[in-house]
Amino acid sequence: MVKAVKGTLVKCDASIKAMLVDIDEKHGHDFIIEELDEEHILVKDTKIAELKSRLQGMMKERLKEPESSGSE
Amino acid sequence: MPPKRKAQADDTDDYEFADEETPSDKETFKTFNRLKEEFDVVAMGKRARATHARDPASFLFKKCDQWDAALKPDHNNRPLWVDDAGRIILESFSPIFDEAQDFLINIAEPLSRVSRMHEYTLTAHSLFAAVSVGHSSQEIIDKLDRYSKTTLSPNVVAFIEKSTSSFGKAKIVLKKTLSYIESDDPTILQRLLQDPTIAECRADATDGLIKEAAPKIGMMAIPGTKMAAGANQLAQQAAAPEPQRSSDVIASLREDDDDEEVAQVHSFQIKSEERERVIKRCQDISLPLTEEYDFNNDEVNAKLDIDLRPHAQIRYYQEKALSKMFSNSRARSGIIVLPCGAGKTLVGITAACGVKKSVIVLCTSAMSVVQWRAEFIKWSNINPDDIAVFTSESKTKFPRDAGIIISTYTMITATRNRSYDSEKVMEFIRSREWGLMIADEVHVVPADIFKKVTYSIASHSKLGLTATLLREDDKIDDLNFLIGPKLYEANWQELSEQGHIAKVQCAEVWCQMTPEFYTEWLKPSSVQKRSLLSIMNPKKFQACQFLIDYHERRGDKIIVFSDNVYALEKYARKLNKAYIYGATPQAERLRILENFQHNEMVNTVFLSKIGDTSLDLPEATCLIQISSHYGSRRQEAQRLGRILRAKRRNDEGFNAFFYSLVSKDTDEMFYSSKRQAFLVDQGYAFKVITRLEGLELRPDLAFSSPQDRRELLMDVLLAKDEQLGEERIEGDMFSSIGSRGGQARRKKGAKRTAGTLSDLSGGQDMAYIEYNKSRNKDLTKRKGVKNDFLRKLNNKPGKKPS
Amino acid sequence: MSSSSQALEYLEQQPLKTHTKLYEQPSTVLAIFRCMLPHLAKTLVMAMLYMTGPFPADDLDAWFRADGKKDKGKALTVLDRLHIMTTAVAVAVTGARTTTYGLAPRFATSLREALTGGGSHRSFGVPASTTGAERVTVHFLEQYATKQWENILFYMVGSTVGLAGGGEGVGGEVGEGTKALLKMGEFIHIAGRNVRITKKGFEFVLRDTNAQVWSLLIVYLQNAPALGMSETDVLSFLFLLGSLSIGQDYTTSTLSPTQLQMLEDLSAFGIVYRPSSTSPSFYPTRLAVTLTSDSGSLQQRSTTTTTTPKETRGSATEKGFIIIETNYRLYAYTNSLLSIAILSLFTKLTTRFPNLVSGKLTRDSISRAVKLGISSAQIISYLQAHAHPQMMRNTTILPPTVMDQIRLWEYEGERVETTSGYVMKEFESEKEYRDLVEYAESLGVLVWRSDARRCFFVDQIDQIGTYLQRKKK
Repeated sequence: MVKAVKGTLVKCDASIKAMLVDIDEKHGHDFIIEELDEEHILVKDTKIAELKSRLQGMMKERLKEPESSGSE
Repeated sequence: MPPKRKAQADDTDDYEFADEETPSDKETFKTFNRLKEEFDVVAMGKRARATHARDPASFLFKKCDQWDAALKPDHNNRPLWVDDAGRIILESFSPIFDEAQDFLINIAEPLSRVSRMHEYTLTAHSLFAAVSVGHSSQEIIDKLDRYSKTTLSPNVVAFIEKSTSSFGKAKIVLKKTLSYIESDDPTILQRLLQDPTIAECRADATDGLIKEAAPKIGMMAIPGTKMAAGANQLAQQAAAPEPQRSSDVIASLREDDDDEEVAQVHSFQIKSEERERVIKRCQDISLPLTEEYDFNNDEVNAKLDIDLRPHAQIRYYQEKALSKMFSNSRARSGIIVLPCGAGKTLVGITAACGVKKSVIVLCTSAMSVVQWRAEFIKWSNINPDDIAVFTSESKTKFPRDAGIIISTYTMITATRNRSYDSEKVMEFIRSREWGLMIADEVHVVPADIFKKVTYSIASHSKLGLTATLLREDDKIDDLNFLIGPKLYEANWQELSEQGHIAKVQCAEVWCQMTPEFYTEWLKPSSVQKRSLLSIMNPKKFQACQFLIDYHERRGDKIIVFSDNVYALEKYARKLNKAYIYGATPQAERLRILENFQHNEMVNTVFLSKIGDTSLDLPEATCLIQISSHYGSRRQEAQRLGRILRAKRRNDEGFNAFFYSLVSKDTDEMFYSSKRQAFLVDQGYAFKVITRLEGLELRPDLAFSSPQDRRELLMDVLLAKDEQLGEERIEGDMFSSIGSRGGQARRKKGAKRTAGTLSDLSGGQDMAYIEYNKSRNKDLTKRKGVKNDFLRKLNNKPGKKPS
Repeated sequence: MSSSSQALEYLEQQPLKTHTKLYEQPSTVLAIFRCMLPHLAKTLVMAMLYMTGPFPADDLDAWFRADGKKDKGKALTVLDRLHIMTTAVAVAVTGARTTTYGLAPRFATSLREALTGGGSHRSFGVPASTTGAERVTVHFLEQYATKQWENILFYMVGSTVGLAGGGEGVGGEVGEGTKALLKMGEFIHIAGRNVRITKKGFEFVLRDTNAQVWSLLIVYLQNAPALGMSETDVLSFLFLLGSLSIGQDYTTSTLSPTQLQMLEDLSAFGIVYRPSSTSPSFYPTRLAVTLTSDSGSLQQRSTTTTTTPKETRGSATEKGFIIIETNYRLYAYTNSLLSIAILSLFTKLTTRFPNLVSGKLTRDSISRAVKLGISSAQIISYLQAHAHPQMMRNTTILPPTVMDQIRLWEYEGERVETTSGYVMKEFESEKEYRDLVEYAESLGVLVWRSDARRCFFVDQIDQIGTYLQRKKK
């Protein structure tokens, strides 16, 4: 029987997906409904804003910001 | 700290320089630092800011706001602006750009020379250099003001005056092996003599100063140039019965200008053994000395019979550079900066032909020693017997009074465990006076090492050669004191447009991390492990495979660079390509390189960072960089340099390629942008490639199945941290500089010897051995074609070339 | 979008009543005819202007080649929407239907009056009789208009980047009415004391002056009824202004109360100049007289050449002053605070000389602009539009690597793309899956599909639900 699951589709790079999955794991799997493929996941509608802001935080913390090339 | 040495060899060209300083060195650097601070133009600019009117937009201009400066009515005809901090912006499309550029390169440090707008900055060092090549402080100010669109700010004028008044006023000159302090301003000498230390070192007992006519500027004919050819002709006409020596040519030219008023120079003699002490003292009292060598009048040291061969043509920028060195018919110590492939070696050889005294050449590796020797024989008429070589493998002396010796920094500075043979050669070197010391790749030599070199070798003049006067630390400034000012720095874009160096397309290829690799990357682990995960990212591997294949089909010869030896081997074996790293035996290296150059079947070679410098491979037309040394701008520039001398560079529409593969959302992205900073300012534009067209269509991509990727991941995770450390080999003098992590890493790092090769390839995954046998072995079995290059390399120095 | 097309679009939306009223003024009719109508429509109007009877559609068709149908249709549509042309259908005794066209009588009369100068209307303005020293010069009007208009732009941009107002030619006080108008048009966003430019506002700033003026006037028109002004009066006054000559002053005595009220606002914009608010006359500025033309409204000035920068602030309307190098450094030959403010929206500025500012495009500076709603495309188009002649030597005006990087910086700021909707899964057969996924695709609601996993994502489910229901039956 066909099933329809409501949620927010998140399309992102594989690396960002890995971060999202990591966040999900660390918060009791409260965000992600389903991992669809390498670049898509389904997230609870109500949780998408929080997930985005946690991602921002994680990126800030984990990634050194590349700057534009050339001397200052 | 004594350098670390390999246990098994008592003489070696390979060691690593430590970056620690001895206490006495600290003193020296303190002096340098104080000098640097005193002439900090940026601080002056900040103070100047208060003098400018403010408007609502002022807060936007953090560096400098001088909107209220007076614009000259004819500013459209003038090419540049100078800000309060001494930064200069130059319009390259100005009709008088060429002369303005020639002037600026004399007095200022180039910051960026891209295409339409160039930026320079005045520094104490650049002004020191300007003064030492003969510009007076008034001349600098007048000319700068003439080119400037706005009235020069009093700050800049004051800065120029201050710097030039104390720098380069006095020279140290060796005349007939005696040392003199010389100046055209007697008050400067009086000031020096009031210093007790200097007074103590004075050799002549008289109260007065020695007075004589100043040498004329611009009279030296540089060998290999038109002027020299003219001068020779003139000389032959003038002195038919008795062929003149070239020094007489200069003397005769000098006489032509007799009607001018003769300028006077004043001098006093110092004790030669106190030379270093005087130099240091003068730095301490902010009157650093320039060093000049009046080689024409040096009758004590034997003349070396050397001249450029007729076919050796000096290019205009080489001439410009050399004219800075010889502008008053003396040899002035300093540094010449030319991009790789632009003919640094020929500049060095020409300088040797100019001085015509014994020469000592210092290189970074035994490989360069061989290449320097070959170049000397190629470009000059020197008797090959007169060229001696001092490396771990070969220790010779030259037979006559004058000659050339080529060695490595490590051979000269090594202090412990010297073999009997080496000690004898060192004794030979120490006991002589050298007319010229050529310091190759001078930027890689730490200041304390170079100090050792200069103290143990008595040379009248020093010429530093480098492609990139860049270091991630600030120690490059110290070279200004140890060797001399920067005399010339070429414009990369200009040379590339004129076909002297190859045109290069640069690209940064962004490789997505695969989810399984990135998940691991996110986990807390060692820096090395995370960095290895980024390098071994299967998508990066595929991109590398794709690019190699693409460029091999185009007929390119490709060098793939990997700092990481683990990755180097994995990539090379999986792709069945030859590879060279520190532990590759010399014979195997030569065989691989020979095949790369001449064998149509071998178009790709993987190199560890031993290939960054010293290897001269003009066949290479494409570079792919898969792992690199953090944010080292110098390494990036050096690697690019590997393809600048591409043989095919003058082919119609020829482009060399430089790819940097970076794994997205890892630290590689951050470092990559830092690395490119220097090249970007030289006008190289890095195109970001986020997707390689047609990559996914290829049927034979490695690691295309999840199974393969998982296995690769397991391998990477099982690799021991010790295997992942930085490669530490081959006198690579910059591995110890740069990132702060360097110290810790070095302590952990294992020594790399040939023995580890089997450990790396086997063990962890038996399956790999089957599929990934080393291409190196293939090449070993094959009989290589004997050819010129190999003969040159194998040619034992000292023997005549066959 | 050209300036007149904006006005045309607005005009087309007006009802018949407004049009009829507007067409009473010959000046308005002439302005609409001259500037709003496409070329072909003009030809048709001229052809019909002196016709004595209705114009049969068949005759008109005969004028066109077969491939001209589309253009004909367009011209007729415009004329119809503006109620300039009427269509009549006559049914003959034979039962044959003939369609005929005619010009709206009011429109035709006014146009004829305008063209021949007949009638006693004063719709082209009545010159005032000011003489001698009291008259102001064209040069003065030019400066006045530039200053007033740039004040408005500077208010929008300068407030955003934190440039304080006041003094120095640009940055003078902008009236509360203008501010309210900018907010109403969503050109700026005001939160408390913070004013920042919006995406629409940046689009506004990037346009040429004439288009900017119309954009603001249209907001003004929309707001007119709320202020108790007659929209028709406002419109016809704007069209009147377009027909005046610069340098001449006109009397206010013939103006309606609405129009008198407008003078106040228009002088704040710099469209007209009044010596005082009670003055019996007004001067139109270039902003006014070019309202109904497409020629440049503010004279383009070259960079200043004199030695005293304080007196000669350049205008932001100068063209071709930006150089960008592949190392992301930017050099702009300008001393205009407005240009500086615009550049600082997306550039890290560092150094300023009397006739040059320099800085750098950085990841930070671009993402700051993106956060304000300014897109990479807008930044690139601004840089291209104002590129220095030296940049034109290359095939692409801007270095391609720089354009790529600006886009990448924008793109890298937003790393996830989200769509709300439903995942459809657990199909019983491949056929069932194929059937539904193809249906979803045909509806245009399919966002993502995985044939391997037999599931897909849609952003709307209603029709799919209905489809499934229907299939079940």
